[in-house]
Order: sequence, then structure tokens, then C-alpha cells
Amino acid sequence: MYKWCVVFLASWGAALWGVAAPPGMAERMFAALPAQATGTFVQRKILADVEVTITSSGTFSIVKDKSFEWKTLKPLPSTFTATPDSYTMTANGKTSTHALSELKLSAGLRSLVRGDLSALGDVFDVTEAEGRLTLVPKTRELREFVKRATLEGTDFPTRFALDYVTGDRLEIDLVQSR
Amino acid sequence: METDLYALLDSTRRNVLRALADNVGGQLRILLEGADLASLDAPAAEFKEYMASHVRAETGSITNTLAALAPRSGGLLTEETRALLLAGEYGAVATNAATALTSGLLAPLVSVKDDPFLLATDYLTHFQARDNHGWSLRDGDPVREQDGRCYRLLVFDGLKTSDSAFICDVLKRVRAFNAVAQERDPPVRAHVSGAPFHAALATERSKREINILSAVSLVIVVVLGVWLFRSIRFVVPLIVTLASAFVVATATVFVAWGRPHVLTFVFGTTLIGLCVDYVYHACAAEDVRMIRRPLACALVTTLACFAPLAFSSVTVLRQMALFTGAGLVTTWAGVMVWFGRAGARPSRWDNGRSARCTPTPLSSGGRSKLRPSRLSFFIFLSSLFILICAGAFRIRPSSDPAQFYRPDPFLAEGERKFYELNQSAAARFAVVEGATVQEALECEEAAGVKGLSAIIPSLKRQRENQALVAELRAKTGAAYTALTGVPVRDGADARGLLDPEEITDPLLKKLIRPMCVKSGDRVLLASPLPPAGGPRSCAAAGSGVSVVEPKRELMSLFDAYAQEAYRLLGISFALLAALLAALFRRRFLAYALPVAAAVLATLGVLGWCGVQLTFFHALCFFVCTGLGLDYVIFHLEATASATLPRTRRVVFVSFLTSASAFGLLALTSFPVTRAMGATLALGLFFAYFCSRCRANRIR
Repeated sequence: MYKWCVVFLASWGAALWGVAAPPGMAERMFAALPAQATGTFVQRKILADVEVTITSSGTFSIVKDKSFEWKTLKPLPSTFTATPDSYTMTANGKTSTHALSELKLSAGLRSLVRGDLSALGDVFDVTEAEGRLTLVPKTRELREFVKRATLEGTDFPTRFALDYVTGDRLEIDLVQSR
Repeated sequence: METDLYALLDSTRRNVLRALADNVGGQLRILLEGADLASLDAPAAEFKEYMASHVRAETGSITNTLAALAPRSGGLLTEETRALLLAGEYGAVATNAATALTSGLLAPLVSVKDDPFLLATDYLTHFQARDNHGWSLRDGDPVREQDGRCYRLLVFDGLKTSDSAFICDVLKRVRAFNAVAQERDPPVRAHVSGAPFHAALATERSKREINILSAVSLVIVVVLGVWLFRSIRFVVPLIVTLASAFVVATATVFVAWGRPHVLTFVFGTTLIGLCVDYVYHACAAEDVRMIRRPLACALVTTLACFAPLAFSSVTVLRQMALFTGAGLVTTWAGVMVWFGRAGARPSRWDNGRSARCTPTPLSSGGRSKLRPSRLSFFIFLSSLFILICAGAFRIRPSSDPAQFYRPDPFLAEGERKFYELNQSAAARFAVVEGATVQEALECEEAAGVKGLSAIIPSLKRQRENQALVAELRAKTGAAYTALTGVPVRDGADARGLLDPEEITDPLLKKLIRPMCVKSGDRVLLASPLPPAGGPRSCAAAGSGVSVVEPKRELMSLFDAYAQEAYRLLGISFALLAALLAALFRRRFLAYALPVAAAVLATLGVLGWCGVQLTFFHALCFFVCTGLGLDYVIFHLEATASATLPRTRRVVFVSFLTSASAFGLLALTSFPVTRAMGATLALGLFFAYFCSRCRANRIR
């Protein structure tokens, strides 16, 4: 069940981080990636059953093949940091670090999280249209939680969206710092 | 008839181990191995389609499971959250929930309408994050990657022992799949694992071997009998007597026990050798009254040999004693009745054979003096005998259950592969007992055992949790809503509690089935323990927690049985010595020594061959002693009469018949029957040889 919550990190994080890439949009993005990228994000989580949208904002930082940091500043501060081997979550004064191997991921997702985009096709049906990459889960387990993920952008991903089967939706707008 | 090994245990341990074994006893596993997971999809679908004809398919889904759980999740809290709430840290819990909501990493698994603080979501996520030892799911099947290879495990439950023909078909299908799957690109291999495969293959093999052995034994009996009697007239009395003995013996144990163990009948096949002996002597005698005394002595001594087993504390040994005793008495009675009907009658086989050898009447010394050449031969034989017996010091007892079963190499490879990937497969279990599931759950919680209660807390704990959550809502609800926008309802939680006995969702039932078993009117909760560390014994007196190690229990069982068998063998020998002394007075050593020598020599050969002595070897010595005494009695009784050559021939053929029939068992594929066959053949050889030597000495 943690799998899906890493999908959105894996799919676009790996696109910024990875080594291999499928052809098309993701390939173009990868080719345009700098060795280091920082920026800001605005995230909206829409909870369908209570019709509430929770907005948060913060910064992100990527060093290719080394680290990925997602720092939420508002409304509540928290930091998520990932390296090729481990991930750390800091919130409310507590920090917990886990090895990537502890994550309950299938082999395909594990490869994705490690940046191997060639595994994208194992886990998702990938379609590209009008500058938008759409990922639909292939495995039954992922389909139980995630309906679809989409990625938009040209040289750099600018929007990521995740639709859950419960009707909830996650939208992330990214702005790269120049 | 009882076939379960665990039925041999005493009732308390039996129920626990049987319950643990039953949970996985009908589980059949096919492990697919390939270079990547996608290559395993098609083979998995093929096998599932094939198995669907015999095995119920699990149709659950995680969505359905969550839907079943959600309305009953009101009392589910992680340990960490419960500890915070018990410590009054309501603010911390609320902040954690708000952070989880706003950070975007966690999506609610239970609607925030019912679970605004994501407590149930946290609980389910935490539960899912338990160490699954590298396994995850793909389309409902456990998958994992190890050492560059991908594996997918197909698990099929609900198979019965009566499905052995289908299971053998599955095995053939898997082997056929492997034969062609190596040609696939990438290559795929299937391994098999699970008790049903072993049981089915053993059943099919045993049927085949029994058929072959029965046919060969029958031919041997007929050929030897015809050679002995120059006639087939012995066949009818032999069959009638044997059949009567088995029917009476079987009926007796069933009347006495209702459900005797199959081991009784496995051992009971040794009755054949004893029956053949009596019938042959009766057939060969001119008048059955001539052999009444030696036959009676043989019966009494053999019964005395088995008598101590009847007083054993081990049920299966008592069953063996009753079976053999009833069978022997029936054989003796059958022989007396059948051959005593016509009174004295000419023996068809005599034909002057008895005239070839004039028996030497027993004198006070009764022994011929040894000539020098015979002396040196005697010394040589004695030295050889001592050397053989010295092997007895090399005997090593063993109660390892692995001694009793050697799996087929393909099955063994599959089991090894499965356990290599599934290191968590437990050899030890913490078992908690209770009158009800709830009582057992509370006991588990009190003892701190992380079993079923770590997944589904007791109702008592869930009610406590509900009260804590109500306090959380009351104290932090308004602030939480202001921060996140998620409404927190006033009033009691509408959700119910989760009771394991009311679960209907198939995935949840599959999850808790191995952990919760009914044993009579008690409930047992079993949770796997790590191989090292963890409790070795009860957490506290009266805690209701015990540690069970199935393999160790079985080893202890067979060890106890072996010790009991050795003890009873000693009593049997002592009883026989006393009986022989009463029957034969000063000559009792002439009867006892050959049998003792035979037993020692058999032990010696087993020792030199490096055989590890088990309970089943020990049982064989009862038969060897009984038959050995028969040989000695008939040989020695005949030395005083003109029937010596005839008796010698009958004893020889009887020995050949029994030894070859038991010797054939040594060719079977089952370690138990192989061990018994080899021991019996050896024991009978030495018994015959020693009794013959003794008889020659007296002449």
C-alpha cells in the first residue's frame, strides 16, 4: 500500500533522476535535465468524500543520481529525502530513516524508484499525447489504489496529477528555479 | 484407520501440532522462476486455469477487503498511536495526522468522513509495512526478486489426500512444463512445494510397490512351497490361515481402539512370516499331534516375546502387541483345526527322505567331539562372530524424522528453493490457548506475543481504543478542522469493531487462518517465532503461552518410542529367559543362546553399515526373536526324533520365505520399510544360522 504513495515520486522523480528512459516525452525531459535542479511546488490534495481541498507548498531539490529532497513548508513543515538506497522523513521533530529495500515494492516499481525508466512499461501502460504523459497501472495491486497518473511539461515537468480510485486527486505544480 | 503421525503424540501436543499442520497440510505451492516478472505472467495464468478444476480460487481483492474493514475499523490503532493517546499526547497525534494529510505522501484508505485523523489508515499502512521478508504482490500472487532472479508463488489451498491422482497429474504437468520452458526466451522454471505433493507421490509409489512386492512374494511363497512339498496342497491352508489371522487381528484392534494407527498394520505384515512358519511345519508333519509340543512352545515363546508391548504406555505399541497376539493365536488355532481334522495321515512328502539321515538320540552329553579341522573352523567362525558383534558398539540411535522419509529429488529441490526464499517459514511457534478467540487474544496481548492480536486486537482493547479516539476528537477536533478543513464529527464513532470470528472477506480469512485454529473446544492462536531468541518456554506460569517446535516434538516422540521399545525388548528377553528355563530347564541355554547371538550379530552388521537405529529397527527385533525362537525350538525338538531332515528342510524353507519377503521390503523407496526389511532379513538370517549351528552341535 505504500507502493502507490511512492509512484508519484517514482514516476516523475525517476524522470529527473534516472539513467535509462523510454522514448518520447520522458526521453526529451531526461535529455534536458540539469545535473542539479531546485524549485518550488504547490500541492493540492482533493478529498472527494468531504469535498475538501488541502493545499500545501514548499521546495524541492534534486541532484542527479544522488539525492532528492521534498520540503513542505506550509501549512505544516516536513521534509522527505531520498537517496538511491534509503529515504528519510522528518516531521514534528521526529526523523525516521528506512532502507529502500524495506519498501514493499514490486521489482518493477523498485527499479523505477532507483531511476530505471525502462521498468516504466512493466508497471504502467504509458501513452503520450499533446505534451502529456499518461500512466495507467498494469498490475492489479496498483489498480486497486491508483486510477491514473499524468505528467505534463516540455523540458521540465510542470504538473503532476494522480487520480485515486476513491475519487481523491493529487495535483502538484512545479516551478524550476533558474 | 489413523494415518496422522501427530496422532501418536499425547492429546495436548497432538491437538496443537495437528492444528498447525492442518493449516498448511492441504496447501500446494508452485514457484515460478524467471529472469523478469513479466515472463512469469503467462505460465502463472496457465497453471491457475489448470488448477481451477480442483481447487477453489481466492476471489478477494484489496478494494473489497478495505471495504469490509472500513466499517469495523473504529478500534484499530497502531501501538505508537495508542501509547501517545494513553500518555495524553492528543496534540501530537492530531499534528501527525495533519502532516500526513498535507504532505501528500499518504492517501486515506478509510474515508476521512469516518476517520478524519487517518488512524485506521495509519494502522492498515503500518500493518502492511510489517516485514514481509522481501515479498510483494503482483495480481494477487506473492512475488520477489532475489540474486537477479524473479519469483512468483502460486498457492492453492483446500486439497485433500483423496486428490492424490490429480496432484500426481499436476506434478507431471509441472515436469512437462519444465521440459519445454527452458526453451522459452527468457527461460522459466517451475518448482513445487507442499505436503500434498509428497503425500500423493508416496501414495502412488506405495501402491505400485505393494502390487509388485505382493506379486513377487506370492511367487516366492508358491515356488518355495512347491519345492518343499512337491505339491500345491499347502496353498489353500496357508491362504485360509493367513486370511483368518489377519481378519481376526484387524477386527480385534478395531474393536479395542476404534481407530488404530496405520503403523500397527505396517508392523503387522510381519505376522506373515510367523504364520508361514506354523503352516509349513503342520503341512510337513505326518500327524499334527507330533508337532503339537514344539508348535505350542513356539506360540508361547513368541507371545511372551510380544507380551511386554501390551503393557506399554505408548498406544501404538499396545495395538501392535494385540494385533500380533491375536493373529498368532488364530494361526495356531487354524493350524490345529485344519490339520487335526483328519487325524493321522501319511505325509505326501516323505518319500524316503527321512531315511537318508538317521537321527542320533540325545545322550547325556549329546555332543560330538570336535576334530582338529572342525576346531579350527569353529575358532574361525567364533572370531568372525565376535568381529561382527563388535559393530554393535558403532550403533547410533536416531529420532530425526528425516530418517523416516526421503523426498523425491524434484520435490526436495522445490522445498529447498521455497525455504531459501521464505526464510520466515517458522520452525517455532508461540501458541496461546483460550476457551474463546477473545480470551486467547487477551491472553496474547497480556503476554506480549505479537500474533493475531497484533493484527486484530481483542474487542476489549478495541473498545479502549475507541474511548481514546473519542477523547482525541473532543480535545483536538476543532483545531484540526481549522488547519486541514477536514470535518471532525461530534458524538460516538459510527464504525463498529473487528471480530475475527465475524470476518467473511476471503483475503482476511486467508490471512488469519494459519494463526487461529480450533482444537476441540479450545482455541489456539499460533504465531511464528524467530529461529534464535524469543521465548523458549512459557512467558509466565498460567500465562497460557507455550512454545512449540513441530520437528523437535516429533523427534522427542520417536526418541521416547525408541527408548520404550528398547526397554520393552529388555523385559521381553528377561521374560523369555525365564520362560525357556521353565519349559526346558537345564537346556534353556541351548534355546536362548542362538537367539541372543542372532540379535547381537544383527546389531553388529547394522553398526558396521553405519545404520542409525530408529524406533522401527527396534520393533523388528521382537519379530526376529520370535521367529528365531521358532527355528531353534523346531530344530532342537527334532534332533531327538527321526524327523530331523524334514524339520530342517521346513525350517530352511520357512526362513527363505520369510527372509525373502522381508528382504523385498528393503528394496522399497520408503526409508521405514527399507529399514524394517533389511533388519528383518538380517535378523532372520542370523537366527536361522545360529539355530542350525546349535542343532548341529547337539547332534
